[in-house]
Amino acid sequence: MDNRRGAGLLILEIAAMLLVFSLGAAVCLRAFGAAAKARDDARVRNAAMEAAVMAAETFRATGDPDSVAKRLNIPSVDGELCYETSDFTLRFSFSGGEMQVQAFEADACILSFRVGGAL
Amino acid sequence: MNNRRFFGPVGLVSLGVSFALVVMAIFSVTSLTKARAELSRAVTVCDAKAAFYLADAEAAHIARALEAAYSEQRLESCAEEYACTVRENLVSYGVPLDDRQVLAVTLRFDGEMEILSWRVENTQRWNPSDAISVWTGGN
Repeated sequence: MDNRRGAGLLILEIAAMLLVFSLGAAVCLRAFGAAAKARDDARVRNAAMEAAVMAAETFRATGDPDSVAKRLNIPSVDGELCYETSDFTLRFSFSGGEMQVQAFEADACILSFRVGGAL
Repeated sequence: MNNRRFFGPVGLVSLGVSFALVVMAIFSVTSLTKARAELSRAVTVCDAKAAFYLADAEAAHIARALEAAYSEQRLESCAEEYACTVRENLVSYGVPLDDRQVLAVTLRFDGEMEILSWRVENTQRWNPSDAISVWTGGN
């Protein structure tokens, strides 16, 4: 009877330890996943910002949408520019001598600002 | 016997797994903290750049309006409209970026508009830290 009870307790203890280990591992993996996502978001944001600043500085210097298109090596379609990468999309629209820049990551707007043209 | 019962299945393998779990937990928390800091910095940089270009566009808009007003010989009234400071042929104004910085612009109107300065300035007084006694050249 004692042996059976001892074996039962042993199995219970092993199960409890396995549960604790798997829970701990799951939490750690989740934290690693969240870290990887945050790092990827930061990388995409920085890359989008870099391209947007390049376009903005070109527009500030020239005030010419064609110069922005040439700088980013993209075609101009109906006066709008679209710079696409596998991570983000930059859209540039022009009105009243100003340029509106918007960056999207999977349809979510991650960056938006307006740039005044050259004086 | 009691000791054996107490430690139960905690053998070398369990200790190894526990250690690995603790190490993994430390690495995951460190990694998450660093990644969140990176993301936070990226968001802050994006916000700062967006604020700068917004202020820059506003400043350019004011400059264009002043230039047009100057050609129509109503510079003073236009400068007053945009809360600019006029001193002889110099017009100065500032567009706030945030609560600590302003884009300060100085324009000279002498036949045509000339940009004398176009720079970001701090609006808050800088208080140098005097906690560390730095050698200043004396004995």
